[in-house]
Amino acid sequence: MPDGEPGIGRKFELAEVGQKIERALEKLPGPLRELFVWRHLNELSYEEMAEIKGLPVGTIKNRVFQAKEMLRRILQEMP
Amino acid sequence: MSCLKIRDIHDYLEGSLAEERIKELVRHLISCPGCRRAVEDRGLIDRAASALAPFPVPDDFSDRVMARVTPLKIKRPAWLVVLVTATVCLAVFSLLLMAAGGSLLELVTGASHSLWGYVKTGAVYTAKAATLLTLAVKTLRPLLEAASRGLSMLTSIVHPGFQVLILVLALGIGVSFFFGVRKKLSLGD
Repeated sequence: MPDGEPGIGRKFELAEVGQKIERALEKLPGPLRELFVWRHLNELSYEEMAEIKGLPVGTIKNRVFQAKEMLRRILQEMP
Repeated sequence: MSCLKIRDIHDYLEGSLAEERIKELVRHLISCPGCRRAVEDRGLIDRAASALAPFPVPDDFSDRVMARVTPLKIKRPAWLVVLVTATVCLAVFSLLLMAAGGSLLELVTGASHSLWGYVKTGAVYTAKAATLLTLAVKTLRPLLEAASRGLSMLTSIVHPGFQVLILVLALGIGVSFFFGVRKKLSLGD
């Protein structure tokens, strides 16, 4: 799992990370951005999201995790 | 324990791992700075995202969400519907009868008489139908056997090529007859 990149925590402070996440969200594909926002900003449960989307809970979870991984990569590439 | 998988890290941060698995994971984190940093990074993203203000949603968002959610369907077994309907009908009928001056005993006696009458009539018709069916089988059986014998004799005598020719001709006559009748009917003659 360790990838040798410097950690985000060492690059930015929490508030700064928040601002950068807002910018990074624009670079996420629409469906992943939607799920990430529902989960972390609107605080919907995985079950609620699965019901709205008509998809299994496991699929929704995977997509949220995928969104977070993409966000992390975008944040690492940010100056 | 080998290094953590990404899925494990997210499950750990969301608190959806089993207690035993959490203990293993924590033991590993103590000895592995790489995995520790990976967990810290993801945790930081989670905390920072959760601290953001929720995105404003349109006024009709709830309505649209509810419209997309499949409505809950309550399934009622068919036998229950029939039973309830029959019970209600019987109750209403009994009440009407009693209101008209009848008694429940008369109702039950009348119903059983009617039912017995239907059973008797049904039995008579069933017996008649069985007799007719037996008669039809007895009459048609020699005819079918004769036809089968004739056909087998014909196929043993006539050359296969001629058999095909006869079949094609018969089919042609049948089709012509069908279309002829149809045309005649459609002209209204």
